[in-house]
Amino acid sequence: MAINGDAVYKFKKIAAVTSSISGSRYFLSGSRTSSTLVSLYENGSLLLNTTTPDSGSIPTPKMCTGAVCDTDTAATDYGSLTDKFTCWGGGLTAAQHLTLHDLVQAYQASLGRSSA
Amino acid sequence: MYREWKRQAGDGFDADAVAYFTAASITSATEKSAANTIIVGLKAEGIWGSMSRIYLRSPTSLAACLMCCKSLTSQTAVNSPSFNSSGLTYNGTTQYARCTIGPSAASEVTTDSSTIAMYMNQGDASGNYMVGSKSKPETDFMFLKNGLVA
Repeated sequence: MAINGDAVYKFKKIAAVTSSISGSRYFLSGSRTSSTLVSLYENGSLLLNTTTPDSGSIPTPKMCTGAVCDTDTAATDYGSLTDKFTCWGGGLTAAQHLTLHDLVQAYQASLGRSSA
Repeated sequence: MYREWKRQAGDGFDADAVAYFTAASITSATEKSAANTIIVGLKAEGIWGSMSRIYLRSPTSLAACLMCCKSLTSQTAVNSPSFNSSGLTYNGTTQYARCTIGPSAASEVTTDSSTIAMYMNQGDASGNYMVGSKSKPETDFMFLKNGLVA
């Protein structure tokens, strides 16, 4: 089994990066919730906050799952993984990240495909 | 008995859940119950309204798996990611699924407000880009990665 070490949530120019080692990661999430706060979560729990001001812009290419798209028709960075749930949108609080984890975990369990 | 009849008729489910079942041709009672529960929960916690796209990765079919339960829009599968009842599997080299919009076109995403979340298999290898969009040249990003940033 791979060791799930580093993880990143990056928005505009600022990234929340962790080198936390966990062998049980199955749910990864991140949010930007203010002009200086980017947060990264593992299995619903906060891994770290990055508090750096950011003057970048929101990217325009269509959002992709399993890859990062740099145009509306092409991707350059890929992932080898099984996607059982994905969402994206506006910022969530730490409490909402935990609740989201709990709801998704319950959904997966109901379908008999829990990763926990 | 009346409650069961109402549920079978769709009245027992959230209206957005019913619309999703219809659009994705979901007929499994187990899946309907699970999807309704998470949709109702997301709404109750204020998460539903904040999200631009929510993919429950339905076990019903590839088409259902690619459908957003909120917008009822479908992703485009590129280079045939594998579908089975566990979800969608990407090969790490060519396969992905593309949404109908990017972050800048999503009203929920603002300059200081954004989120990405993904549920995967425990032990899916690190070094994987999971979800994202980035501008060219590489100055602006919105991505989630299980691994160190390049």
